[in-house]
Amino acid sequence: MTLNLAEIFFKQSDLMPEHPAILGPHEDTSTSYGALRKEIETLAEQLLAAGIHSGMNVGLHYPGGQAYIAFTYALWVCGACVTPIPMELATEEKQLIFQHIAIDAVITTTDCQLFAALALGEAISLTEQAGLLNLNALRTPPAELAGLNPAFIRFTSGTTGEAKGVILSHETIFARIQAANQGLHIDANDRIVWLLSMAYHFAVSIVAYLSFGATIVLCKNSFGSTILQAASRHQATLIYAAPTHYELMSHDRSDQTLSGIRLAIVTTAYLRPDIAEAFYQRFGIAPNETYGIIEVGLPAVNLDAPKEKRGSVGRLLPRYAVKLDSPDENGVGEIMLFGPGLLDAYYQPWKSREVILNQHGGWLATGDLGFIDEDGYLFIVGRSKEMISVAGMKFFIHEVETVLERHPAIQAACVFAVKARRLGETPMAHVVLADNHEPPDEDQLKAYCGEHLASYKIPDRFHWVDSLARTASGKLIRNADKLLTSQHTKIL
Amino acid sequence: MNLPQQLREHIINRHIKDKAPEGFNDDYNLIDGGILDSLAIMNLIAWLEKHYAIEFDEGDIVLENFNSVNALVNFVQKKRAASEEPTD
Repeated sequence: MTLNLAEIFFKQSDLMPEHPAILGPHEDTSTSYGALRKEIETLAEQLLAAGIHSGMNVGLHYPGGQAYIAFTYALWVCGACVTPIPMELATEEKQLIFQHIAIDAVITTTDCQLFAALALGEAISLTEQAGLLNLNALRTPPAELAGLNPAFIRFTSGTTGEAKGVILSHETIFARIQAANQGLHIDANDRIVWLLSMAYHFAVSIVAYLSFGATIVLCKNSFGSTILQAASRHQATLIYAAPTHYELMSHDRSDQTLSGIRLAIVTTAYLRPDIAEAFYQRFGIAPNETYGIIEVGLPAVNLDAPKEKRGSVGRLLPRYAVKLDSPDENGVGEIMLFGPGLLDAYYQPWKSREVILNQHGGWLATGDLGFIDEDGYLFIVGRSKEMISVAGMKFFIHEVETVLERHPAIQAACVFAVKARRLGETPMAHVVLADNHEPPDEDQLKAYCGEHLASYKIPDRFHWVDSLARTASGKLIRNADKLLTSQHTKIL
Repeated sequence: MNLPQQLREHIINRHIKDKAPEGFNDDYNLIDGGILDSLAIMNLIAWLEKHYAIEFDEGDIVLENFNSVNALVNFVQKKRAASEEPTD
């Protein structure tokens, strides 16, 4: 018999219908497990009546919040799979998802460009702000997909231009949250302050909280004082946030405390030591850094030594194994993982879990570089993949280069990461002028990029060069220290 | 382009990926209206610091300084004026 994560939530709601499932974002907003279940069941009835059924894949293009949770679970009740379509992407990037992933319908805000681009007929109204559009999928799904009991397909852009949707089944997500909870120990006593994008973070977070009977605390906005007020008002026990949020909380100069917090989980990006120290000085809590990866889940959390081993994502949780591939003289190698809940498959080109693991002797190659210290703590020091992380929002360099090289005045482009104080990294581009063209100015190039790319992917600076720097073997050089003069290497 | 125009244009070009919301003007609430999330705020801070040669101090990253184009204009003007004041 197949598992459905909605059934796991329903079991919790049977056990404690009055227990709060969601608190906030407004001061007096509270939704119990029973009430959330009713909201989900009502939406599911609407979706079923609108033709959504088992085996379909539905895009979800909606802001994070209670409605996002309800839509996701309602689609699972219908037996459908969910493909998140992040709101902040450019319309062109959103349309790319529809070209690569077979999507039968989409739930979307009705006042948006995507809606206008997709609307072939009348939308079926689900709520005041959301509509359902049935679509003719632009492609057929891989034949093997139906057999996986898929819950999510997360679209990711591949390293060489091909799309690589990550498929997570209900069983896989359930295995992940159980494995993560051997370290997190989330239960009905927990109230978790939630600050991340639900389009990117849902499985080993929202699903875990609702499966283990915890309460999700939503905030009105991400300013430090707002987060602290929400944590205090709702007696939060956990914070699940990005480094940016810890920085914003550290800046708060009120007398708010975080006295009930037992875990301050940091995810999405490396936490700068000065932010960790500022947060510790302000609240007396050392943030718990983690290693989260879409293909794996949450294999490592620095639970027992967040202060002593600052900068480490901790030791592996009990059911995971790690090894380093081809370590250098400093012990730094590519992090290879194995454990429960590894991705079920890549969507395009189709690669089953078995095939993915067989490529590396039974291990999942993460593309991240790291080392393990003498006490077994894992430190992540970089990526072997060509990616940039702007405040935790990761993207492949080639996405930006492809857009730049479509500009008529650009013959070739090389995008690379530059260290930045506020954002960790920002993209910068070296560009080669095409013959018989005048170079557009920086504002024009940024405006052009903005038409095709999410804002965080737009290069912060452009530098015209005669030719792109390459190694002796012809490979593009992307090391900022080598590409920039000493004048440019200062932190922005 | 004057300061309000520059800031308005930057917000529209960089932070409103979709259609500008109905009633968008210099008093439109950028936070409640969902235009500036935490990533956008950090991006905006980095841009303001670079573009106007100002520096955010602790205590500057508060709702009051970000909740509209006009609030941003006031904040930038205040920081610029402070940096021009003679110091002992």
